[in-house]
Amino acid sequence: MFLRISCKILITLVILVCFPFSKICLAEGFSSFSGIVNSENINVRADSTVSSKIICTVKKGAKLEVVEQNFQWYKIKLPKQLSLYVKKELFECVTILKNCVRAKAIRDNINLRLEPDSESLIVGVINKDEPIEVLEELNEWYRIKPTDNAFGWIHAKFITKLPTEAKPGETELTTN
Amino acid sequence: MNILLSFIKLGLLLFSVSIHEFSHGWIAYKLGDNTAKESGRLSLNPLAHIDPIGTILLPLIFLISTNGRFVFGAAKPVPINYAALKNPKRDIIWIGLSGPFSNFMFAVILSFFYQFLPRGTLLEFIFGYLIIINVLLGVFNCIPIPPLDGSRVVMGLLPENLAYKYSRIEPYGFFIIILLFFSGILWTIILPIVSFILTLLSVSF
Repeated sequence: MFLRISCKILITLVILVCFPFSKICLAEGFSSFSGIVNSENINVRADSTVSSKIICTVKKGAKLEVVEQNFQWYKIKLPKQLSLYVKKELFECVTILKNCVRAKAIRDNINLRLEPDSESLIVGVINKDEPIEVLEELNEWYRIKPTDNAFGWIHAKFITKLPTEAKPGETELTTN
Repeated sequence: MNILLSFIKLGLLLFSVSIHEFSHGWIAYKLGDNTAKESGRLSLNPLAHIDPIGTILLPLIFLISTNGRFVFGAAKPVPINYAALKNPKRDIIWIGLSGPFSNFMFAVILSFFYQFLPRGTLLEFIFGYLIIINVLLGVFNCIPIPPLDGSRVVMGLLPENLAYKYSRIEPYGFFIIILLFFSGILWTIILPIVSFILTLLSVSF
């Protein structure tokens, strides 16, 4: 009898301690993963609806990094092969070959645009001191590689998730 | 102008040309020529390869005139005794190629690690800059104008009489290179090649 009471107390204590942790883990929800595009010429859009503007298309087999989910849509980091544009005057060139190859932002909240036009679609934001890789120097714009803060949306059915290795020490309390 | 970054760039250039000169000396040594080893050039220590004009003055001029954004220079050429080589005509090709090859290999290795480095950190800047400077050094040295490495490869490939005529360029080679460099013609030729290689290294991510 004595043992059973202390066992119950122990079990209760264990549950009470684990409960808040399990709540946190279950509520965490999404963890980013890599996926492969499973069909040809899929549109990457500005938002998670088919009526939103198309940013670019991706080929079958392209590897993308998914960072978020909204119902049947995945938010992805824009592929590094895409060219994006920022205003030159907001950057300080740090390294040149003949033209600028690397620059850093001189202030926060710089818009990363799809085309060299101030009205063009904004696909990301660059903050102060963030470095950019410049591909080409235009009159008022730099054509650059997408930074890690440039995103688009793609329909989930076109992404095949790549198997990931569980990191050591992490327990999988979420279901994917 | 960020003075610290400029000095870092200078140091990285120094390191890169040291690797370049070291590989020249090392291949020559492997092929039977001790000259480089004897004169202490078989060392990765940058101090062994410094040439006051090419390695200090020239880079400083570039740094100052571009406000710290561009640096370029050369090291003291590694002394080679062609008579000590078993097969001078063939060996000179290997010796010539080893310089740019070492720079390209270094850039490739760096690129592999570069993809994992968080953007905006000093380490990422250093790796990124090393990649650019090594690709630039590699391509530049391939130019077939004496005394650049490319010309050594050409001389090894040409038949004796043509090789002799070709080597007559050497005293003027330097001035030709300087002329091409500052007129922009050199850039027009090597920049697309450098950009292409840099893109290749990025695509391998």
